Amino acid sequence: MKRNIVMERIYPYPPEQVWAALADSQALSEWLMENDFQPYVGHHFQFRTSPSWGFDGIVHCEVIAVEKPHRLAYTWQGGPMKKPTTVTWTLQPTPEGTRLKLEHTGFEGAAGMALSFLLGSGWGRLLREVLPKYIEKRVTRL
Amino acid sequence: MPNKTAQHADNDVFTAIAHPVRRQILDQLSDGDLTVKGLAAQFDISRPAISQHLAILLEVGLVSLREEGRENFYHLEPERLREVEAWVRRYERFWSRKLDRLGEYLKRNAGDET
Repeated sequence: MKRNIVMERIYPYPPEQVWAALADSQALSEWLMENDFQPYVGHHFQFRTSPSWGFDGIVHCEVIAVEKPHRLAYTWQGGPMKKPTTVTWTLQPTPEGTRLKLEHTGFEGAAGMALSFLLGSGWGRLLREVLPKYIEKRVTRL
Repeated sequence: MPNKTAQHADNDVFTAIAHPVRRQILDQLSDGDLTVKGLAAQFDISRPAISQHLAILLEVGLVSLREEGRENFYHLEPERLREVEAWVRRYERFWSRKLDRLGEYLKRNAGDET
């Protein structure tokens, strides 16, 4: 099973209004993080927050999908991630307002790079004897 | 990166294992627990330098310290390499808080318009 994050919330506002909060730099800075986001595919930007949970507070992103007001996606790379993860927002109109789905995927890839970095760097005994059982355990759980 | 970075709170498992000396230390400890002295014998670098690397490994939980008589033995804790699960849990909490804040933002903004 993949270790991805999928969350859904229903907000009592139409998709256009929710979209405006997701795809606007000023709005994002109020509820998510300081940023230089622009709603164009290919735009590179950063989210910035105070350093915490073991990272420098900077998330490197690139916009990969802008389908107003249905879907917004960007890459997300911060902290120990060796490869970017992906954050995707999907908006669906409902009688109550908007069903917003957040998917944050690709954690295995981000860690996989770290592991392959380890594998390529000559660990000797640790790699041959101690690590494999942990990696195996982890992989079977994914 | 300057050595000082190692003292900062942004140490995590991945930055800890990025340093070749620290990987060698882990490698040595995979054979069994060792003291700083025992470890230093395996390396060309000074004991204080070894201690500094051990402090980083301790901080991120890749090694633990065991007292035996007057000596401190370092012990490998490879479980910590399963960091990815910790990220996912952390990000779940992060997004949950942020989605709450988005709700508050929308409410505040809707209030402004009426």
